[in-house]
Amino acid sequence: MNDLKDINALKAIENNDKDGFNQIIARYYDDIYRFLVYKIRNTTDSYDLTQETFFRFIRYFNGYDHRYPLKQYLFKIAVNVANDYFSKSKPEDVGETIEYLVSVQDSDASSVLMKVLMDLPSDQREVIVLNKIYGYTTKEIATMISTNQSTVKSRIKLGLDKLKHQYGKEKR
Amino acid sequence: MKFEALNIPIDPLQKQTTLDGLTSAIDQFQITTSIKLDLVSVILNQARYLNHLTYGMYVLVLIIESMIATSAGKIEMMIYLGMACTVFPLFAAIECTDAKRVDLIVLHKTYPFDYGLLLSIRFLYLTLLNSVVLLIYILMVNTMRHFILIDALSAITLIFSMLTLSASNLLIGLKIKNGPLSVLISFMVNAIVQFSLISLLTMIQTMHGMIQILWCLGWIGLAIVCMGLTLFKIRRGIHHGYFSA
Repeated sequence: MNDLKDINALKAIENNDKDGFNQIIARYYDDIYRFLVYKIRNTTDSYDLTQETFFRFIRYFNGYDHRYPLKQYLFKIAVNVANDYFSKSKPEDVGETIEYLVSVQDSDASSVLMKVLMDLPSDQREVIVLNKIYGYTTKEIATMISTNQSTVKSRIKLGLDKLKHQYGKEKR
Repeated sequence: MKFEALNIPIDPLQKQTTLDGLTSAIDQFQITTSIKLDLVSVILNQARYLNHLTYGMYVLVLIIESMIATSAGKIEMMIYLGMACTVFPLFAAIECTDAKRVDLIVLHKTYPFDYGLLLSIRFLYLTLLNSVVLLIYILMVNTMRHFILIDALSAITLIFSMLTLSASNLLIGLKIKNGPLSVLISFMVNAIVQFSLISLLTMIQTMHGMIQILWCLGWIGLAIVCMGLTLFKIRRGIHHGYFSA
């Protein structure tokens, strides 16, 4: 369900006040951008994909069911946008991006965590980010990435096991 | 492992560039939402409440008629009354759990309420309204006890129920621009369901003993399930903090 800020923004759009879009974009831009960085491991292309996410949101707004939580809906679009990006572009070296992301962390522990998180396989990284950073439940994630709940649970478990193992190793 | 401590910086310049790119898309956007937020839509939807109300009345008339005709004993009367008391909340619950309803969408878009709150308001409103009608009917039947009158009431409520249903369906269908085919399908489905229910009720009337009791228990069970579902939805509304807003 949407909170009052989202409801008011959506209501504004319904009443042809396009500022509602600006409110929504201002509210969720950073979250979507950061999620896309985690997902595609490219800080530059993530800006374009964030833009594409909001483009799609605006384009298909008339079909948006207001009972579906807005933030979750935006993440769902972002997942689709990122999947399209993977299907269109060739795999590239992400070493530099990971190095950069590791270097901008405030503490050693965060640097290690960022490194091991970014080294995880894409499907495990995606669900861990949505669950541990954005706080979504396995059921919500399953809807967002169009899979079943047990798959999400097993991906989180496998990912976390790998993460803990690698984290311990790196810390030593 | 503190995930919340992870940091991904955002370059304000790049962000602004992408935001500028979105401006033209926002400017070009045209709202084509088919539901207009006006009073007419809300009034039109009241016709649907009326429909359920009259249909509920018809069911009640059948029950009372049957009670009088068979000179039912105390236990049977209790069962009939129990059934009557569950019919109205049942209708209310079915109404409330259907969140796709146009009037809910209209209210949701007109006021800053979420569905949890709207559902609970509607549940209370319908139950209260139906209970008042139930009371009036019981009083009326107790005072008059006239078979011809009861039969006439039964026929009138049935016709009224069908009329309000078809009118409201048609008007709402046109209002949300569903297209003539979906309006026709919706009308046909509703008509078939309504006629089947009426036929079933009439058929049950001719049954006796255990089958009737099982039928009543079935109604009560269904009503409990529907009300449980509604309460679950209301609880979800509370969970998301909409009642404190």
